[in-house]
Amino acid sequence: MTERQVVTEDVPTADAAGGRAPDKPAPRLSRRRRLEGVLFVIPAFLFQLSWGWYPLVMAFVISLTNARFRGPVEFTGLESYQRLWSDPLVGQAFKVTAIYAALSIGLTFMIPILVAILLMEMPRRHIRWMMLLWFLPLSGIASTLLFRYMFNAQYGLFQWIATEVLHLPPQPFLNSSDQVLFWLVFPGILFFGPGLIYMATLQGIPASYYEAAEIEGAGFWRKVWTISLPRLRPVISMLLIFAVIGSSQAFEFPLIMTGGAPGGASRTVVMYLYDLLRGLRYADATALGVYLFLVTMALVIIQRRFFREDPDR
Amino acid sequence: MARIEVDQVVKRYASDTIVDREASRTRPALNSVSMAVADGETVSVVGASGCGKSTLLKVVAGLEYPDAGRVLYNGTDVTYVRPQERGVGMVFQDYALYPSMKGQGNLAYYFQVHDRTEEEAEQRVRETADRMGVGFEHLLGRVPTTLSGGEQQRVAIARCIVRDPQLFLMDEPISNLDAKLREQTRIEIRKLLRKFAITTLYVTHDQQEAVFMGDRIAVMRDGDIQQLGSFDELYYTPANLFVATFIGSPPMAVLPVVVAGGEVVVGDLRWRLPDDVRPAVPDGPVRLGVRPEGWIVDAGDGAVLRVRHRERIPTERASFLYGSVGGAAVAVATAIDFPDRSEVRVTPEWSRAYFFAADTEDPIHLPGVLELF
Repeated sequence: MTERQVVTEDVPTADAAGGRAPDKPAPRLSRRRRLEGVLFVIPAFLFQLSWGWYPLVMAFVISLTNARFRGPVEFTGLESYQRLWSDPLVGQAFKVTAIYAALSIGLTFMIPILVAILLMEMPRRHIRWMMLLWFLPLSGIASTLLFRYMFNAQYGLFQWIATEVLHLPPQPFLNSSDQVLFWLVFPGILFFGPGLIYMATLQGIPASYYEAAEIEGAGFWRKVWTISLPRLRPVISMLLIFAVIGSSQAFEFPLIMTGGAPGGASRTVVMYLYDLLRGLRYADATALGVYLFLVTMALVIIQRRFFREDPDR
Repeated sequence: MARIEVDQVVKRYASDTIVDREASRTRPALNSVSMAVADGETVSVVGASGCGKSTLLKVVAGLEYPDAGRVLYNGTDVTYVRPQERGVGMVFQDYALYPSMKGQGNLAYYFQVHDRTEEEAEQRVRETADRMGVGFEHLLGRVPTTLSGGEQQRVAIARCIVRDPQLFLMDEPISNLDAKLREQTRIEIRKLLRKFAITTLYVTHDQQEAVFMGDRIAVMRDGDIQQLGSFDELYYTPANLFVATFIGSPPMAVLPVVVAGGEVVVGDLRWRLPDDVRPAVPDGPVRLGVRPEGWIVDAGDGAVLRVRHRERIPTERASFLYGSVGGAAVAVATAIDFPDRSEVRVTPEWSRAYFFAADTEDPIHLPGVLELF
């Protein structure tokens, strides 16, 4: 049987005289108006301008002055930048931040991807419970305070596990300048949000991909490697950028947990910036902000370059 | 190559493994389905969505295990054998090509999974590319996202052929293509199936496609195979009213009529049954089925058909008139040059008429396969 080539003709009948009755006027067709679009954009634009671009530009401007409350504000050029460059605390803060970021990405970034993939293998009923447990919406500050208690060197939960369960000598945890960054990153292994995004992406992969691979005899890990991960790739790339930016701006968690102790071993760049602000050194603080901006920007550009070598495109 | 038997297979989905529908809880996806496919034969499985045709395919592939019943390949029970050990090739509606690999990689996947040598994989891929025909070679160097739907499906088919499957399973392989490409690909697949003589199950929801692809056609409804047979068998000797109305386009007209004293009564019309049909049809209410080509136009005792709409099909040198008789939708096949008229009179050609019981779908009298030549 061949595909039909259909020619349809309407045989004229009484009700099919064609089109609308002549006495009814055609509705006025109005073009889509540009003004409406602009109105919708204005709030977001103002918000972005006042909270995004204005502070960014102003920070840069302030960093080039002496930024005093009283007396004449003078343009001082790159003086603040030079002062920070020779400040040993700045170097230390960048080192701390770099280690913190490397640890948190290295230790915690891959985990939600893996957990999401494994979770999807579970029966539907269990998935719901696991998701509820894993993604329980906990307040950031509340869980941070809880962790501070857990890390307490005298009566904390972790100390109890170390001495009573593992029979180790009492551990310094956050009081050791060598270990403090690791222990700051450690809670992130247990609690991590973006898993939901991975799961949503995994759910969007058609079952037929896995069925095709199954028929060819692919095992679990091969299916993960040849189907799940390639399909997650754009999401991983995006979340990696967020993780790089987020961890290079680490602030409230270390601040509440340690306040930078011991001896600045956990003082990140943004924490030092905060210290400078409290010392009313606005020009230096904004200059430090610009330094951090440049470093973060460079990392993001490198990361984009790296991920552009995508065999898919 | 393989001979396939499906023996009284029952498959019931747990309500939480699939979209939770009322129907899937009350009846199984496959309700004791049995069928046999001969070596090298192509059987089309056709039915509306949700009738269980894809589930049947998955059970035969081994992607789903049945709750009861058996699946046999060449007489060997493979019901619970893992899919990769069955030597089946499956083609999916969405092609399911591995996204990160080029065409070459997709074809070589099987050989990688099974730790075969690079040389063997390469040689097999090259052979398959030759067998797939002109222009296939250049698809090997491209990633799936840069290929058109038709090209992706060619790669997907080659991916099956490359490892010599003993059974080919196709799940609506061309439904995602546009009309023109669909027709082309359909012919191409048919040619390939003929060439390799691989036993094939071909699932589709399109009855014309099913007729085109299949040596035999299985019509499914609600988890049951209603009838399995050649097109002529399905067309002229349908197992029930469902098959009769499902096969054929435009569909058969079904008129509720009353038979009394050798006459068919529709409204105030009375048609006298010819002598050879009369004994086969008992008195009382029945359903009369008439296909578009089973009407005689402009006979003296015809029912009035007001033409609502006319469809001309030049390739078949026919034009169809659509209207209704006694409240039932009717299509009538006429010559292509049939004049535009708002009314015609139509009479069933009794040697081509179908009779079904009024309260069940059982056939009472069928025309039988026509001797065309």
